[in-house]
Amino acid sequence: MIEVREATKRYPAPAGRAAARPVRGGARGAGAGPAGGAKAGGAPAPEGILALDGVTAAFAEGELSVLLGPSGSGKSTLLRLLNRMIEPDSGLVLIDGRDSRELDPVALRRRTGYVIQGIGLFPHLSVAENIAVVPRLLGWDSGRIRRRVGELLETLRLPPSYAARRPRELSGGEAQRVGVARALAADPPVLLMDEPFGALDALTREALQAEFLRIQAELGKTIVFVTHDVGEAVRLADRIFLMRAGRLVREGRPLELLADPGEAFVADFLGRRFGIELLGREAAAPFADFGQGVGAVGGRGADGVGGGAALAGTAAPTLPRGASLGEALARMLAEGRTELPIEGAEGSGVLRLDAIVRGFAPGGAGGKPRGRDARN
Amino acid sequence: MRAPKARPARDGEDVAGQASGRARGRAQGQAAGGRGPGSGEALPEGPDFLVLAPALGSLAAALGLLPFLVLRPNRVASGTALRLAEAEPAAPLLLGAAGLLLLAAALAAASAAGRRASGEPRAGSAAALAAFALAALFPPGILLALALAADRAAAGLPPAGRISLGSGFWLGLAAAAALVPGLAPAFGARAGKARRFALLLGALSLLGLLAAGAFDGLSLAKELLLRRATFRTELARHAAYALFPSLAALAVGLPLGRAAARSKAWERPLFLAANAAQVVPTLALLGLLVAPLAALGRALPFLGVRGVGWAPASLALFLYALLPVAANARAGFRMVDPAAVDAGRGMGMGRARLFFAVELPLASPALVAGFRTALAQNMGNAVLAGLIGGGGLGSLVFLGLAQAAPDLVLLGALSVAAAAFAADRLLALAERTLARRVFSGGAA
Repeated sequence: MIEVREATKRYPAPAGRAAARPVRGGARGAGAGPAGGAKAGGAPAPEGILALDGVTAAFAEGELSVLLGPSGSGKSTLLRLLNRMIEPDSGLVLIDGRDSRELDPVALRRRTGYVIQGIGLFPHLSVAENIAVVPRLLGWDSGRIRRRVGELLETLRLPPSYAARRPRELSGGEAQRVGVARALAADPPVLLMDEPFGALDALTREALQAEFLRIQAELGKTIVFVTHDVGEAVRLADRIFLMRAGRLVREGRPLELLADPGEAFVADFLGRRFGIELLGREAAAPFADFGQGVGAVGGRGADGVGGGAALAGTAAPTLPRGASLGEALARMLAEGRTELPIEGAEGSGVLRLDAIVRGFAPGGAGGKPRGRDARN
Repeated sequence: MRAPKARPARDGEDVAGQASGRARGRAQGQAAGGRGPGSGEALPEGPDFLVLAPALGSLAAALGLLPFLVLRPNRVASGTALRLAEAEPAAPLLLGAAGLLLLAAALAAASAAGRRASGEPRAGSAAALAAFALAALFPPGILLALALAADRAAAGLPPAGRISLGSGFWLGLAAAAALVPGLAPAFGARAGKARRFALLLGALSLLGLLAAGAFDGLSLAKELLLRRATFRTELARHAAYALFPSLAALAVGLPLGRAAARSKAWERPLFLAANAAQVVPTLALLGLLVAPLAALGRALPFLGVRGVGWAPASLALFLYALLPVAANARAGFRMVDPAAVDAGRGMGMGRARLFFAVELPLASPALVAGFRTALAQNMGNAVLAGLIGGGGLGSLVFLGLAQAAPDLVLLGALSVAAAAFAADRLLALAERTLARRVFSGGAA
């Protein structure tokens, strides 16, 4: 559990890389001015840039928390507080209940995985040596390091021969895999990732995201992930923290954000297609009816054995177990049906269009269940 | 004097006439993992007559018209000039024939360019190869002619007589060396290798003839043999003058360059000072140092510092080396990927480890480039130490000037040039090796 309390950070006006970035408080997309938004667009203010303005947040253990927001909204600054790459001007960072100021920053960073957009692979070291950096710092013996490197190459689906390659010889996607492997090397409980897939083309990015979710499903790390890409946030996040101009605007599970955006800026930034993008990641099963009765959407029938009977007479192929709502809807559209047989953990059931619509609506049942299994 | 490089160029193989794009294409080919020659980019080209024509012209003029040897009754007297034809009648015929053959082969290779363009890639390559072989053999041929001519001239000379080298020999040798770059493009991607081969052939023939005692009759050799022990100590001292102030400049310039790479506040005054030291003429700088160092020596006699001698020489050489070293260090540390530094810090590297494990190796090719410039430059500048009683090869040069003995001057100057060249080549090799290790792939 990592908590940030009332953290404030101001960068001095002229110096520093982060300060050079203009702050755009506005919403994504042209002309979508937020309701109460005093835009801080353009040059940095003479008194500096308020990168974080009293942010309080908690990142739960084993969850993938996504910090989402436009450029200059303070996401990276917040992330870098967590491993003491920067210190807040005021406020606290608590790591498992301990004030991070009491922790040695170097030791803290060695047990916190860190992946950045530029990847920052060391060009003068081989892939294996890059992955071995933190284990070496921790003083592992060479046999253990070698085994660990082999394991990680396998986990990230890189051929073993890549161990001897130099970063120059890797494609962008491969390099980013090595970056992730390097962050995972010493098996840290926490992983901080700053737009790790930002520089990749869309196809590679999505492949890596899927891969990454698979790994996370296996390892269950506590991950804080920075991105400005709503689609990426939707695909990955257990919980989204939406930031703007140094403040945390809204946090919640993706479906909660759809159902109840709160401020106009939230709905604006998430965009009109947010619901559609959500379909791709939410599992269909929680919306299906596995009981005999109709209407108990989301409820799991105790006697799922007879579920198939409800569909007697239809010849539609059954939706597989891990199917997403997106797949289900695509099938419905393609086949002109409003209901499909579905296989769930406890037997077969039926998925109906109106149940999906009701489940997505504000206060619907769909917001509660976790959609993890759709993405395996 | 070489201008400090803004970025560490891989200029190990740049002689006039070589399109640098070719070298770059090759470097990229290697970076992509390939080991072989560049990917079809560096096609063989015809002879470069812009280089070849003036080289052949001056070769003919130098060997035909200018004095090849100068014979003196003693080491300081003025002498009589001998053209090559007078010194060794057979040589001009052989060399002339070789030159004509070379020209014919080059013309044949050039005329095949049209056929090469229309789908016969190997057309004219035999002629080009022959021309290159003749060009590579020209400098050894001139050295051989010198050995023969000196031998013949020695027979008719009194015991105190001296045989000096004439302007025709020097110009002819230079022109012959210039033939090679004009013909090397015929080797396409392997032009650099061909040029190195020709250089090696020349160097080996020189060493072979030296070892065989073929040049012992020359005045240059006699000057050396007369003061063998002095020469050895002065050579060592000269090397020390070049090396230690450069090392000191590296020790000082590296942290300063790194500071300048990170902050403008450091950069401005630092480079103002380093540039100022660089523009003060060497002699003036030595003069400026006399008074303060003399005062220092009086105040602290145990230092052994005087206004003249090793102290001002070393200090001046240190100041000269500072700019190339610091400028290259600045460029090198600027090129270090900030993401790599950030990642290193984020993974829990301490400051020292981050510097030694990430920043220093990534900046090292530029650091070596700066050191190389400083060292080669100081090899030359160290001559002036001889002027203020500091010793080194400069003392031979100035002794020769004082005695009006041109061959002693030449001995000092040639040794300095050879030492500077050797140091430069050695460090260029180190630089290339480092750059390859740092910046490109391969499990080498």
